[in-house]
Amino acid sequence: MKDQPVLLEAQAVRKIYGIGDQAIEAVKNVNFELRRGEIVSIMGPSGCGKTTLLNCLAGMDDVTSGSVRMEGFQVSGLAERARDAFRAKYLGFVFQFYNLVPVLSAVENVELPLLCNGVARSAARERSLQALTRVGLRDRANHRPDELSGGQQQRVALARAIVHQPRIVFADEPTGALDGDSNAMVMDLIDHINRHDGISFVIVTHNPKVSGYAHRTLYMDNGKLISERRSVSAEERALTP
Amino acid sequence: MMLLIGLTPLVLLLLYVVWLNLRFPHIRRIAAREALLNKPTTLLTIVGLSISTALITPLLSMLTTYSASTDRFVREHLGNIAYEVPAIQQPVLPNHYYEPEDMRSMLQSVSGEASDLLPIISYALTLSRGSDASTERLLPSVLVVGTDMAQALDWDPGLRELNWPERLAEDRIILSSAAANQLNAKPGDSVRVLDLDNRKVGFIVDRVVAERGLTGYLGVQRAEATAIVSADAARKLFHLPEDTYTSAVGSSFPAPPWQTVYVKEEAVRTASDANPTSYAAYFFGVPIINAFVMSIILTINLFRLIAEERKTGMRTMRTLGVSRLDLKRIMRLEALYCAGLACSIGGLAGAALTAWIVKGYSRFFDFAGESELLLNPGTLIESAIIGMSLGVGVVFACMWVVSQRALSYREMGTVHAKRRVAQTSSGSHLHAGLSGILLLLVVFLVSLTAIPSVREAWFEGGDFATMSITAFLLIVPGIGYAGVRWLEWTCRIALAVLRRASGAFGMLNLGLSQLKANRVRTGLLLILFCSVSCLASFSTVLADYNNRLIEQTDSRTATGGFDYYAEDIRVVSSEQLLVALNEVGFPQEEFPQAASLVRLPWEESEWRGYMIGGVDAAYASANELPIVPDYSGESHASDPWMTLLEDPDAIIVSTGALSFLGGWGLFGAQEATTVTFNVNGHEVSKRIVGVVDDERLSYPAQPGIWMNAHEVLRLGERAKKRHSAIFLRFDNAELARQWQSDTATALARFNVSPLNSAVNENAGYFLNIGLLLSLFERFNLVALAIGITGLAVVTLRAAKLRKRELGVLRSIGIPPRLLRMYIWTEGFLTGAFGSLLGYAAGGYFAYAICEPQWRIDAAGTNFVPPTPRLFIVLAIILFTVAMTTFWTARSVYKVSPIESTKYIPS
Repeated sequence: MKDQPVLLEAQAVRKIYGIGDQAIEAVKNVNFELRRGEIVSIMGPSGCGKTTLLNCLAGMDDVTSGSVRMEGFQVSGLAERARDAFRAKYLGFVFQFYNLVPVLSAVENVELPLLCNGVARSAARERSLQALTRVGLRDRANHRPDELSGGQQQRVALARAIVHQPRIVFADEPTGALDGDSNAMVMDLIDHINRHDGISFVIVTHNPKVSGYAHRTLYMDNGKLISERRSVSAEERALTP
Repeated sequence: MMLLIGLTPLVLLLLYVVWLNLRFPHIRRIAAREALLNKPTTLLTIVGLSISTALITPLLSMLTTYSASTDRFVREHLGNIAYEVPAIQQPVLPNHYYEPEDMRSMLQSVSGEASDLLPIISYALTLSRGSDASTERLLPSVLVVGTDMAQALDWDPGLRELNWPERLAEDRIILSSAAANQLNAKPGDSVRVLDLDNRKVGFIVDRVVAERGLTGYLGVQRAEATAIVSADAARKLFHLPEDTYTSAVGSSFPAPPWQTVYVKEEAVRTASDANPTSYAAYFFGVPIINAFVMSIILTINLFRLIAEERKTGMRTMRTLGVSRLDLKRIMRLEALYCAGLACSIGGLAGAALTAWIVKGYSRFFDFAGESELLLNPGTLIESAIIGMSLGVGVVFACMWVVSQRALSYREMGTVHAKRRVAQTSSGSHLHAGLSGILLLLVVFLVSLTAIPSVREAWFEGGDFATMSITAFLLIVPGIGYAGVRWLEWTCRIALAVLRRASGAFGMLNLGLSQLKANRVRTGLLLILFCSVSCLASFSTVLADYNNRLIEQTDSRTATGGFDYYAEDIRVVSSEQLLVALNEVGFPQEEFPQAASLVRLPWEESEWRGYMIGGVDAAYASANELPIVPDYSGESHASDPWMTLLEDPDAIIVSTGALSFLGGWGLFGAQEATTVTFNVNGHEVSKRIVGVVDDERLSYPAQPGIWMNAHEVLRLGERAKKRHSAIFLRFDNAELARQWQSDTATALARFNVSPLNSAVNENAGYFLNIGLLLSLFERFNLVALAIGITGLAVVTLRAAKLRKRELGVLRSIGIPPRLLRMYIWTEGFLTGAFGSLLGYAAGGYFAYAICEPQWRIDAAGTNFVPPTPRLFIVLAIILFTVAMTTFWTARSVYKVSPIESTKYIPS
C-alpha cells in the first residue's frame, strides 16, 4: 500500500463546537493519510470524535483549523455548494442504520445520486441494476426498504455508495446494526469492491472483526489519534493478487 | 343557555390545563419547550386554528343575533298583540270602520275574553316638526293610533310601566322613542300630523315612551314608527263618525265571519322568509363548516406528524419508565397551549368579523323592522366565547384521538423497528381500477353535458340548491378518493416528459413516492383544497349568472313601465299628484311621468285577486303594459288606452281576466266584443278593446280590468277598499336613483308613503342573492387560507420529520436546491391538484346548471361564464399555494449533511 499515491490527506485538523467556556474540541490536531486502494478503520470509545473526524474528512462538516486535501485538491474551506458537488462526484457513504429513503425502491435509492448528478435516466437505471447485481440484490430491485432485511438494506446502501464509482467510501459503523452473518457478508462485499475497483474505504467501527478487514487501523481517544496498527492479514492480502 | 353549553368545554379544559400544570411540572416543562422549539410550525399552527375559529364565530353570532333581533322585534312592536281585526277587511261591514254595534258584535264572538281585544282607530300618516321647509323634519308612515287610554290600561296593565296616562287631551300626542328620535322631539314640543285632507293638525308632545307592544305597534301597514292620540283626536284626523273604530288588536280573535290578520305570525315569518339571514346561514354556514372540517382534518394530520416525529424519543422515555398516560398528557398539553392562544386570537377576530358582517349586511340589504339585525357587545362576546370554546374543544379532541393511537400498546410496545411484510397488490389494483373508472365516468359526463340539449334535459327547471348540494357531496369525496391515483398518473406523465432532466426527474419521483406512501393523507389534503375551490368557483359563476339576469331583466316591466309606486287609501288624481311633485323642483327635462290609477278589488274574481283600474289621461299615455296583438296580428298599443278615455263602456282586460270572463272567443273578432259581467254586485256590459299580456306582470301592476277612471269611481262609490296606486317613471335609472329621496319627501307631505322602488320589489331578492354569493365566494377563499396554512405546516413538519433522510441525501451530494424541489413538489402538487380539480368541477357544474335556465330567462342570448375572472382567481390560488410551499420548503437549507450520522432511527 505504501507505494500507492496518497488519495486523502488531513493535516492538523481541529474541530471545535461552541465558543468560549462552552467550546468543545471534538478533534484535536489530527493528521491522517489514506492511500489509493486502502481500507482504513478508525476505532475508539464512544464520544472520542470518530464520527466528527469522519464528517470532516468527508467534507460534510468544515474544519475549525487545518486542512483536508484529496489528490492535492483542497476540500476543507470549500463553499457548501462546492462541497456538495465534490461529495456527489468523488465520495460514497454507508451509514450504521442504512439511511435509505423509505418510500423509494432499492433501485430508485441506488440511482438517486446518479440522477442528481445529471446522468440520463436510462443510464442511471442500468448502472444501478449493475450495482445491485454486484451486491447480490438484483432480484430485490423493486422492493422498498421496509421489505428488506437489515443486511439487505445495508447492501443496497453499499450499492448506492459505489454506483457512481467514487474514490473513497466513508462508512460509519456499517455493520453496527447487523447480526454476525450479515456483518461478514457486508464486509466481504466491501473487501471485494476494494480489491476489484480500487475504491478506498474509511470505516469507523467498534468491531475488531471489521477492523480486521482494514489495511490499517487507527485508534482514537479524546479527539486524538493515539496509535496505528497495520493488519497482518491485510498485508497478506496485499501480496495476493 | 347556549352560552352555558358553549362555555362548558372551555371551562373544563381550562381546569384540566391548570391541574396538569400544577400537578405535573415536568410535563408542563416538556410540553412548553416542545411548542417553543418549533416556532415557525407552532406559529403557522396557531394561524391556521385562529382562522377556523374566526370563521365559525360569525355563524354562531348571526344565529344568536338573528334570534335576538326577532325576539326584540316581537317584544317592542307586538307585545301581547298577536291579532288584528281591521274593519276594511270585514266583508260583513259596509264601511271601513266599525260602528259601535259592529264592534260589540265582533267582540262578543271572541273566543277568549272580549277584553283581550282593544278597539283602536289607526292610520299611517305623516308627522312633521319645524316651522319652515329648511328646518322641517318629516317622518312619513307613522302609525297614529287612537284609543281609550283607560281601556288600554285594562287591556295591558304593563302599559303603566311605560308611564301610560289614564287620560290624554285631544291636542296631546304620545310619541314612541323611535318617532321622537327621528323628529328630534321631546315632551312639550309641537308636532304636526297631516290628516287625510293633507291639513296639518298641531299636537303637543305629552310624553315619549319606550316601544313595547301597543306603543311600538306598526300595524298591518308596516309603518315606520308609532304615535298615540286620544280616540276622539284620531277620529277627527281620519274624518270618522263618533264612537267608531277602524280596527281591534290583541291576543284573541273573533270567530267567522270576522276575518283576522295574524300579525305576530306574519311578522315572525317575514323575519325568517324576507330576511336573508335565514338562508344566509347556507351561504355563510357552508364555507364556515367546510373550513371547520378542514381545520379538523389538518389538525389531525399535523398531530399525527408530530407523533411520528417524536416516536423514537417517546419510546426512549417509555424505556426510562414514563407512562403512556404521561406521554399522552404531554401531547395534549402542547396542543392546548397552541389551541388556547389560537382560539383566543380567533375568537376576537371572529367577533370583529361578525361586527363587520352585520354592519355591512344591514347596509347592504337595507333592512328595518323585523328584518333588522342587531349587534350588541353581549352577543359578540357570547359568540366569541362559544367560538373559542368550540375551537379549543375540537383541537383537544383531535389530539386525544391522535395520542390514543400513537401511544397505544402496539405502537409503543417495542424499541426496534419491525420489518413489514410486503403488502399485497390486489387492494391497490382495485383502487386504481375504481379510480380509472371514475376518470372515464367524469370524461363521459363532461362530454355529455357539453351538449346543450342534454344540459337542458337534465338541469332545466331543477332546484338549484338540491342539485348543488348533491353535486358537491359527489364531487368532493370522489376527487378525494380517485384524485390520489389521478395525481400519481399525472406525475408519471410528467416524469416521462422530464426524463432528460435527471435532477428534476429524481426529485419529482421522490415527491411522487412520498405521495404514494401516504395516500390517505394525500387524499384528505385533496379533499380540503377541492372543497373550498369547488365552492369558490361555483359561487363565482352563479353570482355572475345572477347579476346578468338582473341586468337583462327590466324590473319596470313588472310595474307597467314605472320606476316607483305607492299606494294610498284615498282617491288621488293624477293632477293632485303633479301638484305634489311640483314641490320637488325638478328641472323641466327631468320631470318624471306620473300617473294615478284608481283601483277597486274585483270581488267576483275571488282568489284570483283581480283589480279594476280606473285609467285617466296621464296613465293612458304613460303606462307600458304590453298589449297583445289582435287576431289580425296587429298591435295598436296606444289606441286601446285612449279609447278608454273617450268611451266609458270600453275596457282592456288582462289575459287571465279574459279567460275568467269567458275565453279568447270574446276577443279577436272583427269588431270588439261586448261582454256582460258583475263588478262588486253591479252588472255591467263592456266592450273589450284590448288585452294585456299579464304573464310577466307582478305587484303592483295587478292584472284584471282597466276602464275609464270615472266609471270606476261610479262603480266603486261606496266601496271601502277603493284606493289609488301612484306610478312614477324617470327617463333613466340614474335619474330615478338621484331623485328618489326628494320625491319620497314631497309625496310624504301629501301623506303618500312609502315610495317603493320597482327594482327593489322585483329584483331585490336577486340582488340579495347576488351579494350573498359574492360573500360566499370570498368566505371560501378565506377558508382556503386555512388549507394553505395547514399545508405549510405539514411541509415544515415533514421536512423536520425527514431531517435524517434529508441529511443523508445531502451527504451523498444532492444539493439543497434539489431537496427543496423535492419537499416543495410534494406539497405543491397536492394543494395545486386539489384546487385545480375542485375549481374546474365547481365552475363547470355551475355553468351546466345555469346555462339552460339562461336560455329560457334571456332568450336569444348565450350565457358565457366569467372565464377571465375564473382564470385569474385560479392563478392566484395556485400562485399562493406554490409560494407558500416554496417558502416553507426552504427549511431544507438548514439541514446539514451531518444529520445523517446523528440520529438513531425508530
